[in-house]
Amino acid sequence: MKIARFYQKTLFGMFALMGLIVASTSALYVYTVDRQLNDDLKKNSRAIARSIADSNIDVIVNRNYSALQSVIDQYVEIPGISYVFVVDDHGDIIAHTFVPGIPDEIAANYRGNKDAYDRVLPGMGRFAEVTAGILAGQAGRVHVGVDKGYIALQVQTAIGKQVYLLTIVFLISVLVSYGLMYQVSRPLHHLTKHAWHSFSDGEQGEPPHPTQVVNLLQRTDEVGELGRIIRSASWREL
Amino acid sequence: MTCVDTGTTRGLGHTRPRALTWAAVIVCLLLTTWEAAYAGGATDAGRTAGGLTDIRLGMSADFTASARALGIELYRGAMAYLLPVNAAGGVNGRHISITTYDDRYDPDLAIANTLKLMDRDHVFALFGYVGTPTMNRTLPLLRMHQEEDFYLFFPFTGANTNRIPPYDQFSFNLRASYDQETRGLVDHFIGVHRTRIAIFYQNDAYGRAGWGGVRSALAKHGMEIAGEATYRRGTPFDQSYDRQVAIMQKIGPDAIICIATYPAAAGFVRDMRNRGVDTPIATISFVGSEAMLGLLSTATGTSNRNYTARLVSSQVVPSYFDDSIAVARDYRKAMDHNRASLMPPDSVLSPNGKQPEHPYVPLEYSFTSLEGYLDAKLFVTILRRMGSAPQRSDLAATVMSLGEFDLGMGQALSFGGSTGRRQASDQIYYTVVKDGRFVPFRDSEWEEWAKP
Repeated sequence: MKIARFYQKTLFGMFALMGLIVASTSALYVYTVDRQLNDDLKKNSRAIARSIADSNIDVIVNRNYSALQSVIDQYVEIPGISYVFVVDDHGDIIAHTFVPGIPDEIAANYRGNKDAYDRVLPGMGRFAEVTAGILAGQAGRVHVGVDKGYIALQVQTAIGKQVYLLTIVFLISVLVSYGLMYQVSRPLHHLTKHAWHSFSDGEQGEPPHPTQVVNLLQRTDEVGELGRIIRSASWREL
Repeated sequence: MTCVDTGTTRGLGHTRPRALTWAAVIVCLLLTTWEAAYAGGATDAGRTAGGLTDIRLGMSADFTASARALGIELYRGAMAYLLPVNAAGGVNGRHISITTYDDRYDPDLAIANTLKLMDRDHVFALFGYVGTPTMNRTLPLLRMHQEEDFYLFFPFTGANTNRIPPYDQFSFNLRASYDQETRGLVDHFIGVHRTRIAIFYQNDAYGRAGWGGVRSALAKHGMEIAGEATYRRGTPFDQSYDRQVAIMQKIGPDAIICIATYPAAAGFVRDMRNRGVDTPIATISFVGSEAMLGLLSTATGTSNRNYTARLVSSQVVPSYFDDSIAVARDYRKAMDHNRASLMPPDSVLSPNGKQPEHPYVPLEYSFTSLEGYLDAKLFVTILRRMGSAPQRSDLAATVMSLGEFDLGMGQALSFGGSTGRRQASDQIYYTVVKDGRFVPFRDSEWEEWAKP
């Protein structure tokens, strides 16, 4: 199944354009989803930190560590929330969710009133940590760590689905375009055969089938017009 | 219970209108009376031969997962006391039964079980719950249902959550608290100049309760926890604890207090000793000492190492081999006599009829089953005080009026009094392994562990 050479260029141009669309759409999608997920997870984790800090003041101030641990244990079951720890007014960590222990990087840098930390914990990954003050920070702070790897995984999953869908659309487009091009270029083949046959005494291959010539000459478009001109010219030459 | 209006007989042809109305009234009265009896919580659907209803207690505990030895042994101990009581006619003619549900040491399941026990089974009281994280999540339910007078009796935990407001009023404890256990251990270690005390704990509400106790006890000496390592609830014995051991080696403590369950405590001790670290290690009562000893003995058999040296366990009940204690003798006799009938129902041990891969082998005696035995004995004492028609609404007042009493433990116990005590015992006992079993560790013997 052959198509005209100048249509091949058009087809190539279409494929290139399609590829550009897929690439740019995917890039925009990754950027948007990544940003959206990051923002949502940070907002959620801040809300969690705020919720623990505000609704467990009695538990924290009364040093009911067991009840406090029960509270924070429930939050790390939320996807994306990797760790929670609570610091008291003396700067001591009084409840946390780390196993097998508090990472050295956190133990070395958690005091102070910072609202957010970016952490890289060896063997654990990269984390965005947000904090909320208990009684405006007077009674300590709640820290909630969000796994950036989780966000990346979510983005990868989403983009994977997107690329899968676009690939299917792309393949269907290729097949449809190729079919259309073939349909468009087939009369040109017949016209070429007709011209060669008319002007070269049949030296160039097989002559077109008479029905193909009739169909060609009956066309009302430019191809049919060109066919009729070729026939008139060949008669005149005779 | 709502009685439905039977409507008028108009349009139905005037057939026996008065009879229908009377029948409806009688049905309503019967249902209301039945519901009132149920809501009072005095009784249960089962009836004894004498026509009196049974008293049903509700227990949610781990019967199939990582801490199953604790739930099963606590139940066995309680039944060792209750079976002879029931055989002798019960309490004021009423038999006492325990309805059990498996919570696999999972707080969410414990909540679901508690709702079933209160709303569907209409138990007289909640009894013998096992574990801090499960109890912590259950207590708010008791607060929500406080008009129905549900109380949690003698949970197998020493956490403070049910010992301090706002949940102290919904629970009664027999055992001493984790704060008391850890304070005793810290004081003894410091007494032998082991001042750098680290902690290995289950990273949940139970572990945190013990952590808080150690921290508070050290603070009284002007000290801090030397370091800590944690593990996840449900971690099995055969898993490696090398990461935790590495942390401990880095800290280099004089002593380590384990707030763990028996699989993790045994695994940690094994890996510590395998790495050549002979630091004294202490466990608290919740560990399930005999189950831990069983695992360590198995490990000893395969490695020829002595894993039980320099291992001390605090207990909240006395040694069951101490013949000077009346209840210890009674307990052993009851366990021996009823051994075949003490296990929880198969429906709890084998959910959906599926047999566990490693069927549980009951212990001959244990501190846990002795505690269950004492729990049941104390509850029966309370019931006897309540007379022939016990009502759930009278439970708290009866307990608080007990004052000082004796369960044969060789120590005075008390509820109520001027301080409104809701914890009967403050006594801690220390034990070490000798000749393959836990024996009392006297105060004078701590000197042998003095830091060189």
